[in-house]
Amino acid sequence: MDRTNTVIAFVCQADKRKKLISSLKSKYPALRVIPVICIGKLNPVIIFRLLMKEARAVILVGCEPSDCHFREGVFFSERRFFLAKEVLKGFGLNDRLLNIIWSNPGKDALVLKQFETFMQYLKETQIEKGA
Amino acid sequence: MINEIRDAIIQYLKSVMKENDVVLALRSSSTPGILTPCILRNKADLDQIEAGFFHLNNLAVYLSEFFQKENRLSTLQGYLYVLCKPCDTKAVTQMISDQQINPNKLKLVVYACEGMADMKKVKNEIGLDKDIKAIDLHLTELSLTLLDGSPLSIPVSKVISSKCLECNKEYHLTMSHVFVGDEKKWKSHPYSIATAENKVLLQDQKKGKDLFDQLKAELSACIRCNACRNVCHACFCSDRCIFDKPKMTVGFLDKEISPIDNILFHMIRFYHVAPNCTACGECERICPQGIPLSHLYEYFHRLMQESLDFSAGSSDSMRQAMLSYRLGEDLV
Amino acid sequence: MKTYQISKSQLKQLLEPYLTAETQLIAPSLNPLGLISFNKIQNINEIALNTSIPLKPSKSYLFPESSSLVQFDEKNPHLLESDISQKKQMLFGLRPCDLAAIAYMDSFFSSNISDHDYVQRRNNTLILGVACEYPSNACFCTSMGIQPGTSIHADIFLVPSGEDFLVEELSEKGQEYLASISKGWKEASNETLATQKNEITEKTSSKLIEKIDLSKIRGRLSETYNKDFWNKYSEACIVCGACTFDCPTCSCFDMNDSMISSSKGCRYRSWDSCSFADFTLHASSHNPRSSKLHRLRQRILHKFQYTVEKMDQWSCTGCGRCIRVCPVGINTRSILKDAKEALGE
Repeated sequence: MDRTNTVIAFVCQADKRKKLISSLKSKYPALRVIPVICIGKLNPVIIFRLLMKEARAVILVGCEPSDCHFREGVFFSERRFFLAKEVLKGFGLNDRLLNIIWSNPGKDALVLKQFETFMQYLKETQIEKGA
Repeated sequence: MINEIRDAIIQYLKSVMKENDVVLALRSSSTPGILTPCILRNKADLDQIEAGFFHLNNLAVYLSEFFQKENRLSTLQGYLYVLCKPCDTKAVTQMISDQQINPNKLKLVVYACEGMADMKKVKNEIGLDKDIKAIDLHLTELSLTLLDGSPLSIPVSKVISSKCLECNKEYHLTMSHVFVGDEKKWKSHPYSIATAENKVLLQDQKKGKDLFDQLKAELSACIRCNACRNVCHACFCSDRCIFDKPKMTVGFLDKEISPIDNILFHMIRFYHVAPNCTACGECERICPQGIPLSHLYEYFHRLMQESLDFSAGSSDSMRQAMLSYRLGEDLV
Repeated sequence: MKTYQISKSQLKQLLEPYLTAETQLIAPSLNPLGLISFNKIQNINEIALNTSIPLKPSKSYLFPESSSLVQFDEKNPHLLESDISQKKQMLFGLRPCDLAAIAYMDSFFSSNISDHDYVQRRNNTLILGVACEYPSNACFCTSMGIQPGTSIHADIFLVPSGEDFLVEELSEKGQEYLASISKGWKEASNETLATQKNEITEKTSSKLIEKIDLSKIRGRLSETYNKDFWNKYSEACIVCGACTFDCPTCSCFDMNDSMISSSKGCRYRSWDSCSFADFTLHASSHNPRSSKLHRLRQRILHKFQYTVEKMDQWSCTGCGRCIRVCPVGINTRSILKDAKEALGE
């Protein structure tokens, strides 16, 4: 399967994030935004599959520990995504292919800024599989 | 030395085995240089037991079978004695910590191990056009008889497994066990030719695209036989394994063989086992294609120790790395 | 059918025509992971003939590990046959055990129903056998009725003779090929050929570690169904499937669909193993062979009983690869000896 230029974003769909999701969708048409209940529920195995086959990069947006309404789910997910990034490194892939943004719902500007930086980085470096 | 240990093990088991006890150990097979695991239920059968230099198998992988639904260990009235090398006990400890087996029914028989053979190295020593008819260990020399009847002697240092050369002769075990052999004497001379701390892994030597290309080339030999998964004591999803259901998880991971699909298989598998992997090396030994999986499991083993301060198999009560967290640990 | 005698340097003439871009030459060579296996050859110097029987069989060149059968496209609904490479290939260096295995695979894939995929590949293949001088410690071909020095299942058969090779034509395809390249080749007599074959058979047979007489139990193995000896092998088995993947006659496969995009995909088949737990899993979730004992027993009886009943031939050729690759030392020869004992022979 050929990798496309798609960047996939999994966004925690807390109430206050609806605005963020809609602004992301309008600003970056090539970005596929997938709202999830909590990124703590996300199995990194899905991320590996996406990165090896269809996606160019994956961005996760989740809440900070103080705000996660599943209390301690985010602590476990921190370790989980750390291991996911290490797996990518261990195989020689650029671990920036998986990018994680922690921010509280409502702080849209911060998130948008990080997206902007990342999209710029992608454009400039032309990250490919294995680079 | 090896025969002494074997006799000591048999003597010990004969003295403690009761009527309903079961012994999980090894017996000789008709293939030179390899032992076959066996389940012994009678004292009379105990004489078949073999141990020592050709004890290559990690018997921990059979333990989960005793706890499966059809085979409840609770129907076992006595104890289950398991013959372990000291490094195998890590696997058993990790399985207890993962709540896969019940330690109350287990008794481990650990013995003074002086290393195990690497049959690939033995085959390299004898040449591609010859093969082994019989093989035996005499002190520090391996004496072979080849197919054409000619004898050959190889020093043990040339064919011992590289994992054994790093053995620091330490093992921690809180559960019920007995040590057969002189434990003080055994601990007093560790091999430690290459220590774990100074070890240079593939990921240190190559980075980025070079690393990816080498791993891709090595893993392209994979025929997706799932042997590495089946022999791994850390893979305990058993019949719920994600790799067995290509139809249910349509298009997630096909059984198709291509370099990218093979990398994805190993990526997913090592992600799942990294916290439980004790780097026993069985996956590499069993691979029918000879893929050097040590390039992967050594890296993850070191990663767990350095970043999360977690060593699989060191404690049977410490919660597994992925199921615990420390506050303020800013990893990502 | 003629027999020629050629020197080692003339062997090049036999193989070079298949070293072009439109063809491929497959022969035993050392692979990057240190095993002797059948690989695509770029240079004749890579070929390794004087080694123990290659650990890997050559079946992946006729029956690949995974191959796409048909392609489909929802937007353009008609089935597209997948392109099987039309490359002509030569399989060189197969020993009598492997040649007998190919004969079995031929009858499996093309006698009752013709398997298009396999037959196309087979028709594009020229098979050159070679007499076996270096067995492994697991070989038991003579117990399965195979002679290491001769075979009828190749297109051309080579017999090493001192510094030379005797080249025997066996089929029309072989004859046609040799006619095009054998300029200036010396011919040899049938007596020389027969003598040399016998010598090799005797010498190699004497190196075999064990010979088992199966004549009295042929066709009777189903009587061992309920015997006890199966237990001591199945309890050690870890269901890795390596025996089936390295066996030159194992041909079970699984079929699945793989999607390239949400509307396009292909149906592919990949190697499967009767040792796997879900091999006989029914849609109702009933599994008639749920235990390891069932599956190990079925595998042995398939090779030594069921094909004898249905096709009147053993489907084991005694190559010993299952023994060499088994990580827990399960030995097919031991199982056969236990079966003989259980039947009172």
